[in-house]
Amino acid sequence: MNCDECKEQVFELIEREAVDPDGVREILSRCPDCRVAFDEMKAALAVTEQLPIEEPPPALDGAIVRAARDRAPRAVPLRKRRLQPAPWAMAAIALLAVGVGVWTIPRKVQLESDAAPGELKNAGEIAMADQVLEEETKTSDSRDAVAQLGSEGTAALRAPETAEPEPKKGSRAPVRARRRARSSPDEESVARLAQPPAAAPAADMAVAGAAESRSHEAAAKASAPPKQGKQEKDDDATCRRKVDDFERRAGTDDDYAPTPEEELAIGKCYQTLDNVADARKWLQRAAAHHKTKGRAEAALRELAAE
Amino acid sequence: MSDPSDEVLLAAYRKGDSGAFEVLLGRYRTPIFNFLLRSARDRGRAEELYQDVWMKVIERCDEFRGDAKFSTWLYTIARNLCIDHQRKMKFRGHASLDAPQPRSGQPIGERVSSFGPSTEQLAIGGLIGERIARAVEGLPDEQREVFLLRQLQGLAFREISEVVGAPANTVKSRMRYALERLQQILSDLEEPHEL
Repeated sequence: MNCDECKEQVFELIEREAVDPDGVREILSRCPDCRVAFDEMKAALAVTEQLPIEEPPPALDGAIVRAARDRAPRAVPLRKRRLQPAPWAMAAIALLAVGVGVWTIPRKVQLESDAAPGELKNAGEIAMADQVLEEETKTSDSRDAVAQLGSEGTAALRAPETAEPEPKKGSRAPVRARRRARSSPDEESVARLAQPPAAAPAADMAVAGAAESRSHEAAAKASAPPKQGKQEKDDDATCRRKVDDFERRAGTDDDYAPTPEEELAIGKCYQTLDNVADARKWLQRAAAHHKTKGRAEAALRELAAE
Repeated sequence: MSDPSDEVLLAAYRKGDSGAFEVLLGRYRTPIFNFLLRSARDRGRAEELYQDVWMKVIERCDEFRGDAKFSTWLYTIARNLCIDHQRKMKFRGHASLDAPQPRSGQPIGERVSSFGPSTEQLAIGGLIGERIARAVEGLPDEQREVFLLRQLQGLAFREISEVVGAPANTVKSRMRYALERLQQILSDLEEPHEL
């Protein structure tokens, strides 16, 4: 160790952190310059120990303690927080839930949109409507099978229709009729029946022709709006009454503002009464509300198709 | 039973024990205030900074990871606030005590410490401490902060190196330079010491 290294370690020696304390002491014992440097350093440390120590104002401490007390303690310990899923995982779960919801809801929304507001008020009616829908699906599947089987389908074609339950009450008949008219399996079966296979034998062609005519009748019966019959008249009368009530109320009460559900019902009534312009106007209003948007848009699509 | 460590007290405070915070405040209030006082060179500023430091401790106590000592974290906050304060003062055009004066060529700190009453008078008047304080405040920032962290809080050089973000050997060199400088300024106050 030379003098420069010794001087560098003088402070460390005083602070008892020297790398080579014995080497420093040896040089200090034989080098006057290094000894002077050591003395000066030690003296400086002794002097600086007299640096006055001041106290902070107690009032400041009081304010700090109050702020510390006001701070709300952590509700969730750190370890629990680590167990919580990351924000991106929460976002992914939320997206998945929305996706599943979007995938499952349209069927129910479609069903509700077919029914007039307030008709399907309880779960029993919804279940009944679902049952009707299921029967129709079975029927359409049967028709498909019949159409493919050819002549055997002639007898079988009628069976599901006869087995089909009678319309009970209210609007379930129109619901079923519209559903059937929109149902893609039915359309496919009708199309298939309308276009028999080119390689079919002549006898089968004749049977298929008979089936075709019947299927056309069935399709026409199903897809045609129920303009006739008592149910039809009841619907028209109900809608007429609702529209009259609404127009009278709107004419007398300036502050009257229909709810989205009422707008949807009015639009559908106008639609039933073939007043396309008013129907579109009220359905568009109903479509502006998130609660009735799905049903109103479905009705508008139906209106456009008509 | 030994006193709980700073880190244990901070953890207790994070869980809602405000008494633990008061213990921490009691342990560090004096050294942290003097560190700020000698860094800011103004008692009013030091009080503002003192309050800011503890408010930041309260706000950020959840961010304390525990991989460093509480004292290191606390002084890092204090040092950063001092640096911000000094930047603002420079922006406002305040003269630094370290800057050499146009006429004498000496920094204000050194000039102030070199003049004045005799040692006896200072001791009698209790002004030796004031002169030492001025000498410390006149040190360059890098040397002063190391000197204060070592002398006021007794932090190890490894901890000081974490606080100031410099290698431990650099920190030791700064400490040595600071002492050499103080020794030059305060040589008339020194008394001979034995090895």
